[in-house]
Amino acid sequence: MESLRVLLADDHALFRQGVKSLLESRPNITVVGCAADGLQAVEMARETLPNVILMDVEMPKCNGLEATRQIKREFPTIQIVMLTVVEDEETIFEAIKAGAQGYVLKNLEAYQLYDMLEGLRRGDAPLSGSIAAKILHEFTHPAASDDKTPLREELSAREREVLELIVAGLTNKEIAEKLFITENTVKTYLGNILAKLHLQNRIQAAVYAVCQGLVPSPFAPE
Amino acid sequence: MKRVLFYSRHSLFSEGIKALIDQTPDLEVVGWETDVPAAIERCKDLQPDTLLMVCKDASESLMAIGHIFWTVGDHLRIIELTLQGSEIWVYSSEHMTVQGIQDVVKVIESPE
Repeated sequence: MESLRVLLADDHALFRQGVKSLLESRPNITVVGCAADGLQAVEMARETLPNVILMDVEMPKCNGLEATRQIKREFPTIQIVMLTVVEDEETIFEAIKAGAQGYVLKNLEAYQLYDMLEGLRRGDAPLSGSIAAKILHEFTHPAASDDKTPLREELSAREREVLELIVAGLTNKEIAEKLFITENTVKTYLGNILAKLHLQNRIQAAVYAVCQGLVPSPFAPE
Repeated sequence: MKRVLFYSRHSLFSEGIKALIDQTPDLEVVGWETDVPAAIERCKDLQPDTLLMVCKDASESLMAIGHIFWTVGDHLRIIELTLQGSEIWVYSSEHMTVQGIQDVVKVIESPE
């Protein structure tokens, strides 16, 4: 298996050093760089082209949200996971809008971080339990929207089906098994969905789909 | 060889620090406890040079430190790290018998 190239961005030197040491002990992970602020994260992303960036939110010079926005604009395929102590709704949704693939709190354990990185390879969107709960709360109590933006390009029936399973929280592998198609085909459908809706990742797609009523919310009261 | 006992919830931060300490030749991590009563018992049994605390916030650490010093007594240094900031807090216990206010003043005025 190809080594996963990880860039760490965190202003807490000891945290950075500790996580680097843990990740370097894993056989399939290479830490390609450590950035102490958002600006450095953007520069190092350009230099090292990592597969994944573990990005803190609160950092000097340029915060993690702004750095995520800039990096996703230049390199849409780099996966960015916010790794932070911040858990207010505004920041979580700002991060998702900026293009973050996941949002994980720093109180996780090392094995959970390893699992999360493995999951990213499979197309998972890692979320800490309490963060997932906040997103679900938004689903079940959506704010009244006056967004008159017309729906972007029409999705095919099959794409809607895939989107519905993404909203239900299934991974690409699980969707493939359920629909009797290959994982690569699921990835193709997901790519089409994101392109048609002008979105960047599956979390954005799930939130957008439920908020726009494209698919029924799996958490709606019966 | 300095002997270190960990007091921390198992989190990415504390596991990272332990991994770094494990790579340091003159330090030995002799144990890891996740609650104060267990940390006190292990301090009594193992007599570590340092108790390394990784706490979520100051209120958690202050209660734990007071309790540990009160129960374990001298010869222990506590080092505290938090995720909230990059500061390192060092506490050491000193006991003395107070004869009068002059002893308190002396301690307050002492450089350390």
